[in-house]
Amino acid sequence: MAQERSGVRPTPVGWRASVPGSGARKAKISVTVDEELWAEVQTLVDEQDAAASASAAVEQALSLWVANQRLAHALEALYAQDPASRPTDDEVARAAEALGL
Amino acid sequence: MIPAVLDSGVLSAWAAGDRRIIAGLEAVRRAGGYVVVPTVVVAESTTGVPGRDASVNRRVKGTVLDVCDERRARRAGALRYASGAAADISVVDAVVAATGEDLGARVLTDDPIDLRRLATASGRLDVVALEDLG
Repeated sequence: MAQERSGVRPTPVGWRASVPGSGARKAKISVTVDEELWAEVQTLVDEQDAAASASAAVEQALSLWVANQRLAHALEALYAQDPASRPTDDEVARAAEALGL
Repeated sequence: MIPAVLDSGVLSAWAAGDRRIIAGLEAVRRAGGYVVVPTVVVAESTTGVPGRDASVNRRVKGTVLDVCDERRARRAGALRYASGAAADISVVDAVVAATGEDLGARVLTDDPIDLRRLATASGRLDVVALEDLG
């Protein structure tokens, strides 16, 4: 479920975050993120232990999310072109086990 | 979010519609991960002939391309030398290994012998053979 948060807001350029009280330039837009991405951002911020690092944390988390979406789109395009290419859940489970995922 | 680094054989297998690699990449996708292709792999997998490269080009769009800088190139050289089989191991495989090591990734390969030699030299590289995926 998507939800909107305040406090860490990417700007239109470079997804730089503005954290209240940090003195950074205030963002003009907010972003809506899903629970998984938000958890990733929180983890990264906690690990880096500095509000100023939130910018890098947001940028990194969004980069990971975009990379995952890029893969998803490529796979969905393949499935749309050739529905028989979509692996079964059993095939995916075997592959996930081999990959240690 | 564990990335997967592909070697040339696996990229070509994906382009050819190999179900094992598709299942593997679907597993990576569902785990929130992503796919990395070192640019040297693109060099090894393409011909410059648009028709021949079309399928590889479509798959590459679903990946993150990684450019090998000097630090990683030197690490690739070190791994290749430390493997004790530098004469047998390609520079491309060494760069794939160094990329996987750097990113903490799983390296997917259709030719695990050389990558496993490099993994032994690394001590911190996970190699998964295409044949193990399905």
